[in-house]
Amino acid sequence: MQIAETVAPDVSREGFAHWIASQHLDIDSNLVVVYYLPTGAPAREVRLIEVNQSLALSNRAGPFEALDFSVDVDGLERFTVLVAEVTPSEWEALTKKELAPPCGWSLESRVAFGRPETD
Amino acid sequence: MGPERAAFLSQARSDYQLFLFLRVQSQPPCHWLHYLQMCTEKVAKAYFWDTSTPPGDGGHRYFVSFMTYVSGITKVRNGLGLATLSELRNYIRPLIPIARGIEALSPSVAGERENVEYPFPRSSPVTAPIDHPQFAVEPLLIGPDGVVFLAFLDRLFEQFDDWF
Repeated sequence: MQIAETVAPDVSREGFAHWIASQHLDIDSNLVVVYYLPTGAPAREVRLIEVNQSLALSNRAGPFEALDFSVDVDGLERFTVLVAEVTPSEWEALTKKELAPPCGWSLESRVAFGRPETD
Repeated sequence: MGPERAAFLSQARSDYQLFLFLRVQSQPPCHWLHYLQMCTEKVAKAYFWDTSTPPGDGGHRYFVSFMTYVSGITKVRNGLGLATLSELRNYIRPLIPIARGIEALSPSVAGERENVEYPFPRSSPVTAPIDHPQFAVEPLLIGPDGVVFLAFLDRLFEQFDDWF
């Protein structure tokens, strides 16, 4: 997977989200898809849900915990990056509203980033 | 460095030393794997303490997330003597299954599967970790990727303050 080493200073939030998602998809073969969730997010915040088939199924009740994955790019933190990992079954439950996403997150207008062959 | 990060890092370093000691003494795998699981969880939590999402109570799934995060950090790339982030991802990628294997040794993550602390499976706890012939992650740790993983941990504990 060819991924740019850096991003343009004026990269859009979605472009930045795609760049981060591509890196994560490249490093973990068990990562199925990354969903970018722009609805309701502050302007400088990237919210990602990563669906990973290797996670232990631990019957979590949610809401899911997001972790701060913000990175400096060329000395600047362009966006705050928050990532929540879920299993495929948990993702299915989230879409059916049987489980809740991290507090304040919305699945509306989500954008899926997959591997090149599954785009 | 905030006081919580410092405290978690200090304990993680001590757990790591115990892991090395128990392993070199050929103590039962459940014991040195327990310390390996604890030191990796704590070093990951140490990192997240100084972010906008400090670790919550009771969670154990931080280390794989931390390793994924690390794969995009320029200071880590530089510290490992790698030229590009692509090279760093190539370095970290084979370590992710090992990290997941270690993370899964915690009873709460393991669920019904093998863990290094309590008899399992949880619904019928008849196998003591001390009597378990081999944990799934053990062959990975003695393979070539395991050697790289343990070398990375050495660098991580040495360089944490510079990298983060």
